[in-house]
Parts: sequence; structure tokens; C-alpha cells
Amino acid sequence: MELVRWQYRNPYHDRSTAPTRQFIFGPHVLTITQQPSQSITLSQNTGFLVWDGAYLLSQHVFNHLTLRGKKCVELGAGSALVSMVAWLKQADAVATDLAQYQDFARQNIRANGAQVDVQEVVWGEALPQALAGSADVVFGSEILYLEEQHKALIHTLRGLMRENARAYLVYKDRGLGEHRFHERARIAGDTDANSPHHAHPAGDAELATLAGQQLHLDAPSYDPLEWLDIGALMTQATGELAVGELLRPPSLTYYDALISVEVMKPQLDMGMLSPADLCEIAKWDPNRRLSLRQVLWVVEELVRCELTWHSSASLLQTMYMCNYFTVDEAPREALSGEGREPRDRVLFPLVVALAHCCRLVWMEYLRENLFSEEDVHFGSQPVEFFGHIAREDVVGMLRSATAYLQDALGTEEDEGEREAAQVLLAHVGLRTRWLRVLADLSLEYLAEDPAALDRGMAELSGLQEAHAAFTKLAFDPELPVTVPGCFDPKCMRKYPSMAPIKPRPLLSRAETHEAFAGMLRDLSLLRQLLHAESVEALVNFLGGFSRRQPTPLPFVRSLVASVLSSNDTVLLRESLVGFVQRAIRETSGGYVWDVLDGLEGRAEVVLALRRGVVGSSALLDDPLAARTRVDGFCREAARHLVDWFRTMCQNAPRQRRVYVKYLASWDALQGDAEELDTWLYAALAADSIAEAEAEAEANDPRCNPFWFSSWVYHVKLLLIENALLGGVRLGVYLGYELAQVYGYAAQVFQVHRDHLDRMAKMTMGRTGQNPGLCRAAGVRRQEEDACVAGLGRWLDVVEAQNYLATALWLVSHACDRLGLVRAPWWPRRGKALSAEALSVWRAQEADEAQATRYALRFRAFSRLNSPTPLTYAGWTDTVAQLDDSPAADLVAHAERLLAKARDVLDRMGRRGSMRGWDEVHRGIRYAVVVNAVALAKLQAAGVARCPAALVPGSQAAAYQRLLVEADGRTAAAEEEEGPGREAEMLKKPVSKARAKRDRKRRKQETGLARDAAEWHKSADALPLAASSKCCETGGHVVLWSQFSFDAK
Amino acid sequence: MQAQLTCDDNVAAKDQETSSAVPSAKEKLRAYLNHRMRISCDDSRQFTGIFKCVDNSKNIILSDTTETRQDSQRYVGMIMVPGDHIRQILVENLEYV
Repeated sequence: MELVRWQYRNPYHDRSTAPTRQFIFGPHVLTITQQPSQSITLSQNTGFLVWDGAYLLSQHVFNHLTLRGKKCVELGAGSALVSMVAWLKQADAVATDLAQYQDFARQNIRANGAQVDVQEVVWGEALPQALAGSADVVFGSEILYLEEQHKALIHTLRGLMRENARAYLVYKDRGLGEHRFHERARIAGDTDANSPHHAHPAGDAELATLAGQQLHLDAPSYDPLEWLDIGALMTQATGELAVGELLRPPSLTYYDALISVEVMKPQLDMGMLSPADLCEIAKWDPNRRLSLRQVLWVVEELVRCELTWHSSASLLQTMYMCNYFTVDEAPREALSGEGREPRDRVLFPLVVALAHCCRLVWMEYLRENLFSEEDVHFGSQPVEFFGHIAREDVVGMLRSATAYLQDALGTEEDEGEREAAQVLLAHVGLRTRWLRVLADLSLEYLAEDPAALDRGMAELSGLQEAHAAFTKLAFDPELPVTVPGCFDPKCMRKYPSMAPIKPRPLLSRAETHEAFAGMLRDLSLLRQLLHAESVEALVNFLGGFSRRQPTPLPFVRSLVASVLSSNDTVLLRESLVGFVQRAIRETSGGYVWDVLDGLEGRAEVVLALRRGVVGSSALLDDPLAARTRVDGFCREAARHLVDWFRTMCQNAPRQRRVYVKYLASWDALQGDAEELDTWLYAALAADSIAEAEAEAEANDPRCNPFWFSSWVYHVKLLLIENALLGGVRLGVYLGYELAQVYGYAAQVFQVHRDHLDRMAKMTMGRTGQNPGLCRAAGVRRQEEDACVAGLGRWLDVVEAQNYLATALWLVSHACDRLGLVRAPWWPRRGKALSAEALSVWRAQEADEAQATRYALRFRAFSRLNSPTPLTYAGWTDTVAQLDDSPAADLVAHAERLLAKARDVLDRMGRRGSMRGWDEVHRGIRYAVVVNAVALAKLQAAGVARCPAALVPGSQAAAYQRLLVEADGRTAAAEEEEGPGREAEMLKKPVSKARAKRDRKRRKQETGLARDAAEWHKSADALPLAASSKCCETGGHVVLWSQFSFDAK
Repeated sequence: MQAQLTCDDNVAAKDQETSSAVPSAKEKLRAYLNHRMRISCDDSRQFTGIFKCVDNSKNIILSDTTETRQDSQRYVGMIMVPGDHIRQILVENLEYV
């Protein structure tokens, strides 16, 4: 018996699950029909495929064995490929397997016209009479993977083999204990050979002796023994092919042919080296002595690589290009600090520290919060990043580098070297801080050490200052001196990868530092995130975070996602379920929770229930049922929320695809919540409640207070608002759709306002509370006041946003009507289209096309149970009402609405403590002010003065033509008189009254601008606010960039 | 590209098995489809992969390919080697015993 370990790449492997496969043995072709549709695992249906081992063994049998007239038995034959090959070699072949594979084997044997007997053999059981002790040769391919079967297999082998028989077993080491078969066979041979009772001592002896030998079998190796040059045949054959004809197997489709990477094409083939590349590579010398100016060059380049990697490039395209980065081992001199030259004392400490920084970022990436579009991954190669050096040692190396550089500043004679030392010192300082920040803000530290956040934040603001100082540090661009051969842009050729990766241009130095500063700014949001206390605050924070411009780098987004939820905790401090429970409690009062807590495990309460004083039978049967249902619901809600949160941390394309998807699941959750509420109400209610709550019942036809579903609805509205405004940021909507979006948003805000109002009333009125149960459970209610106060604040926020959205709706509608909002695909008015064509086109656009677009745009929302967006007909009706008033009135009304929003916010500000509401308040206020300024500018640009703006919308169409003609004239005049005339016209008012109006308007505008500037200043005064300024605007500011209004 | 969908492994195999006359070079070559092939390029690289496809300008597609240079080796997957750059074509010998 011979056991062969093998490693082989089967040329047929890529067809391993094809329905039919063909195997060529010399002149013979064996066709095997497989049954890949059966679910194939290691424990079932393994026989229905031809395994690589079977092909390998067949090759060996065909090429190396002489079997004429010998009795060959194949164990675990499956498709009987090996047996058929044995038959080809004129052996008397028997394929054996379990009964279920026999038909399969027979079918394949018949298809190939082979004469192979098929028998059932179950290992370890009695053999068929014809087989016992008959085999000259036994084959077994890949039958050793079930370790528990080894004993039975040895038994069967022994039963089969006659004297001097040989067994050929082939296995692939799958780590399932295949290799132990050898040992087992030897032991079995030894022990059983001494046993006098065994029927076939000869077979045993064979087993035992063969097992002891040095096993050797010249199996086909990875490298075939013989290569045949078919150059001539190839030339001849290709000459016979027609142009465009492909010689190919059916398994290769044209698509496959197209996606193959073309070798020797510079864009695709990274392995191709031009003579220039080879020359550059030849210049690389790891032991080169470097000057400080050269070190500076390497470091500057590496920093560019680092930030390019951060902004979604792969490691291969960036850091791995640097040969100092990819050395296996930093030189001993560098590690021990004994080195005397800049390479060891400055460059390597910086490289190792940079690698450590990347390593910390890499650890974050490994949490897989990111999507495949962010190509920060390296592939399957493990990443080292000098991980064997402890972080303390790295910091020590940096310290020694600082000392060396300071020394160089004093002693170096060359001025350039001194200047380089100065810049490098700044680099070392930045690197030290950045390493510390990354360590402190890594998830492990944040989770374990409560002080890490504060420490990290302090370090972060220090780093921000240092970085600002660094960017101001100007030096001659000629100062860094290049190191030839140090960067290898085609390093991909050294690493395994499925396809060569295109090289990616590195960020420029300015972009690098901009990206780094942006990353630091984004990181400082972590404090705000970790201090968020409620679901609302989190949803708002993430809404702002996802709308941030420029989009935060993948690392920051990944870190935010990890901090948000990892290991079933939210914000690293409380359990997901607990978080949701608290959120519900904070909006609907503590009644349910206290009662449930009171009920839990307290016999007297249960007794009270039992006496029929309070409560109903549902709780009597199972006092814990309520708790179980509530917990289950909270888990479900937490799961959905986390899904939403994580989506908000993904990149824009991904968000654009999925952000409304979660609304549907949240909508479904609302159904569950309503069911739970009804059940709870029935379970907790008692007869006496009817009298106690008679008053509440008078207000509400059903006194069910909807503890859970009202919260779910509240959050749903919040999510819808975020989705709508997020869509504006993501550029989902076309220009003219903005009016629809803001119209719907206003509707949602209105619904939200009413809902919050209802919630507050219910909580205040203690609707649905069972006083008897409270008494029995020993509960005293005090939470309602805090609850109502919180709801009141939120009510203010929603009200202000409602005004804001309505104002934006009116303005965007007015602008749309005046033709000031331009969809990107509209031709420029008056140039590409004549006035008639334009009006016809607009009329068409208003009909079916718009109805279809409307339906598609609000598809996701219209599937929700509530709030249902208007149908297109309803929408046009609403718009028709607006059409009664002139555009100028609409804009004026919008201004009034914005003023109202400011009033609401002021009122909110006066209500005292703003704990937890600062950010929201500030964000909305900012949006209101900015939009007011923008509106004033729009007014100043003369929107309200144009003729079409002064008539009701129903007549505006007639004026549209006038406007277009006037526009044509203006354009013509402009061409004659050149630019600048427009500005003059603005300055030159027509009448005194208009001049007065204009002055007033300008005054108002400057007032608002001053207001905005002041606000900016006050916001900038708070470092936190400065960073969250863009983040917290709720998307409203972005609106104006979507408009392109003509300033006439 | 106008290409003809005329190839079929079954037909090829039968041709190879039954034809008593000298098979055409095309059919002979067809027998080598799905076999391991080693192509040397004119920049001293070698590609070892499974022969999948060839057209009339001798552009060859290999799958599961490994690229070998003097000192290093890497996996490159499915590649197309342009006929102009091919210096030598080797295929594993089917007949060896």
C-alpha cells in the first residue's frame, strides 16, 4: 500500500461542477456525467462529482501501472473514473461504493462503453463473496477524509487484498486527519498480524511492511515531466482559423475572453517592465547612505502615500511602493538606536511609526464596516506593518530621532541639511502625536478606558494645532532630494493578485494635508457622537455625518460605525436593547417598564393579580410573558436601528442605493409595535381602569396609549426626514423635483408635529395607566414631566423645520415657475430652444412624464403605511392652490416663514437648559439663517421684480414667453455691450420708489449677512461647533447649491 | 468581432478518437485545449496556465496562470498573451508514459 501526499493543479479543476466532464487519457476520452445539483458536502453526496484526486490517481494508473489481467477493486468509486482507466489498461476492474452511487457509476460506465463490474461494499462489513481476498490492486481516491471511517476501511482493505496485493490511496490534506490513516494502518497491521484468529495474515503482513517503508511514488507533479513544443503546430493551426474565429472549449465564453487581462499592455499588465523601469529598479540600494534632504523626500512621499491609501486606494498602489516600507526587517542599527546616519536614526523610526499608524487603521478596516467600493484592502496577503516592534519601542525610536535631529540642527554645516532637519523635526512631532491619537481612539482603548476619549481628544486638538503649524511651514520645493529606485510603482508584480491593479496617482502635497486636516476634523466628531444620549440625537448626528462635505475618509466612517455598535453595545457603553428601552421610556413615560419591573418575581403582585383586584388573565397565566414580548420587540427595533446607523456610515453610492430600503422594514416594525401595544393594554388593564381613565377616554376614542408604536412612528418620521434631506445631498433629485421633495418634507414635518403633540398629551394625561397595578407593584410615577419636557423641545425643533421646509417649498416652487430652477439636462433657455418649443416642451413635461417621475421618485415612501405622500393628482391640486398667488408673494411668504422659524428657535433657546439639544438647535438655526441670506440675495437679484413673478401662477405661462423674448433681447444686448452692463443695471434703479425699496432690501440683506457672519464667528469660537457646522445643517444649506438661478 | 460558434468539446473528442485520416492541425490543436501550457514572452517572462483559447493571430488565453520571472513568481489569473510577443509555446506532453 502506498500513501501519496499530493499537490497538483488539475487542468480540469475549473470545470469541477460542470454537468459533463471529459478526461483525456492518451487516445482515450472518458466522459463523466456529474450530478452537481445534489447538495454536496463532506458528509453527503460526495460521490456525484469527480474529485481532483480521482483524476490524479487515474493519470498515475494510466501512465505508470501495468494492470493487464489483474483484479482491481476501487473503493469509494463514485463515478468509477479510476476503474474505467484501469479497464483501459486491460484490468479486471470492479468499482465499489455505497448503494446510492451504484446507478450513477453504472450509467457512466455504460456511457463510455467500459466493462467494469459494480458492487456494493460497506466498509467494515462483510464483503461480497466474489471480492473477498481477490484483489491484486486496490484503488481509493480521496476516501480518507472521514477519520472515524479509517478503522472500517483498514478492515475492508485487509479483507479485499490477496497476497502481494497493493493499495493506491490518494488524498488531499484537508486537515481532517487524513495523514493519520497511515499510522493507523501500521498499527493495525502490527497488532492484527500477531493475531492468530485473522483470516488473511498475508494481507496483514503486506500492510504492515509497506507501511514501514519509505513511501515513494512518482505522481504527476505540478511541473509535468515533459514539455512539448507545439510552436509549429500552433502556427499551422492558427493559419487554418478564419479571422475572428476562436478555438475554444464551450466552457470559455466570449465574455471570459474579453475580461482576460492582456499581457504586455502597459495599462493592464503591471508585470511588464520597460527598460526604463529595469534601470530604475537597478538603482535601488538598501544600504545607501542618505542625507537628511533625501530622508525628507522619502518621508514626504510616504505621507502622500499614506493619505492616498486613506482615501480609498489599495496598499499596493500606495505604501507598498516604498522599498523602505516593504523591507522584511528594519536594520538592527535602526532598532537599537546605535546607528550614526540619518537613514537609521530618522528614516526608519519614521517608517516604522508610519507603519504602526497604518496598522491601527488597518485593524479598524478589518471590522468590515466598509463596502467593497472602498478599495483599501490589500487582498489575501497578510499585512505585517512592523507589528513585531512594540509601540513603546516605536515611540522610543521617535524620541531618539528627535534628539538626533536637534543635534543635527546644531552641528550640521550645510544649510540645506539644517533646513531639512527642521522640517523632519516637525514630521517626527506630527507622527508621534498621530500615533498616540490613533491608539487612544482605537476601539479597544475607547471601550476599556473611559479616559481614553478625553485623552485622545486632547491629543487630537494638539495634533490639529501642530498640523496647522506644519502646513504653514514653508520650504523650498527643491529641498527634498530624490532617492533613486526607492519607490517602485510597479510593485504589484511582486504580490499575488487576481488581476493587476491600475496604478493610482498619489494626492498632491496640498491635497494630502487638506485630507489629513479633514480627517482630524471628522475625528473630533467622535466626542459629539459618544456624548449623544438619545436615539434622536444619534439619528440627527448620523444624518449630518452622512451629509458632510467632503465625505469623511473610510477610516473615520468605519470608526464611527464601530463606535456606534460593536459587540451588541451602543456607543461602547450600553447594550443595544437597553438603549432602545431607554429611548422608548424617555418618550412614552416609565409606566410600562416600572410595572413590568414590579411584576417581575414579586409574589404579592402576582397574588394581587390572582385575587382579581387588578390586571387581566393574560398576565395571570404567565406574569413574565409581557417582559419577554417587550424584550423581543426591543431587540428587533435595535437591530433595525443599527442597520440604519451603519448605512449612514457608508459611502454615498452605497447610501444612494439603500437608504430608503430600511424605511420599509421600520414600517413593518410599526405593525409589530401596534400589536404589542394592544396586547399590553389588554394585559395591564383592569375593570377599574375604565372609571379612573374615563376622562382620558373622553379625549381619545381608544384609550390605548400606544407606548411602543408611538415611539416607532416618531422614529420613522425622523428617518423619513433624514432620508428626504439626505437625498438632496446625494443628488438623487432633479432640479424641478426639489419643490416636490420639500413639499413632502413639509407634510412629514407637519405630521410629526401633530404626532409629538399627541404623544405629549397622552403621557401627560397618563392615558392607559392602571392605578391599581401601579399600587400593587409599588410604582410611583414621576417621569412624565421630564418626558413631556423632552417632547416639547423636540416639538420646537420639528416646528422650526416645518417652517423651514415650507419656506423652501414655496421658494423652490416659485423659482421653478419662473424657470429659475434648471434640471441639468435642460438646454439653456433661449439658446437651444425657441420660445414656442420651450413652452410645448414644458407642457409635455408637466403631464405623463412628470407623473411617472413623481411616482418613481416617491415609490419607496408611498409604500409606507403612513404618512402616505400625495399622489401626483393630489400634488398638482396642492400646487394649483399656490398658483393663485404670484411668485413674488410666495417668496415674501417664505421670508415670513423663515422669520417664524427663527422665533421658534429663539423661544426654544429661552426655555433654559439646552443639555443635549445644543447641536440640533444650532444646526437648524444655522440652516435658517443661511437660507434667509440666500433668499435675500435671490430677492436682490430681482426675482420678485420680473413680470412673471407679479402675476398669479395660472397666468404665468403667458408671461413666460415674454420673459423668454426679453431674455433673448438681453442676451443680444449683452453681446453688443459686453459684460458689466448687468451689474450697472442693478446699480441703476429706475424710479425713486424702487431705489428706496432696493436700499431697504440691501439693508435687510446686509443685516442678515451680518447676522450670519456673527453666527459664524460665535460658532467658530467653539472648536466643537466649528467642526460640526456643516454637519448639523440638516441638509438645508445644500439646497441652494442645487439651484442655479439667473441673477438679472 | 465576428466570431463563429463552431467549437464543441464532444465533436472534437470524437474526431480525435475516430478519425483514421490525418486530422487537421486545427483539430490536433483542439486536443490540447484545457491542458497546461507554458508560454515564453519576448521580455523573458514565462506564463504557465491552462490553454483556453486561441485566434488566428495567435493570441492565446490562459486561465489560472502563474507568471514566472527569473527570480520571482506570482499568480495572475486569466490572461491573454498577444501573438506578437510569444517566443515559445510548450504544452504538457499528453503521450508520456
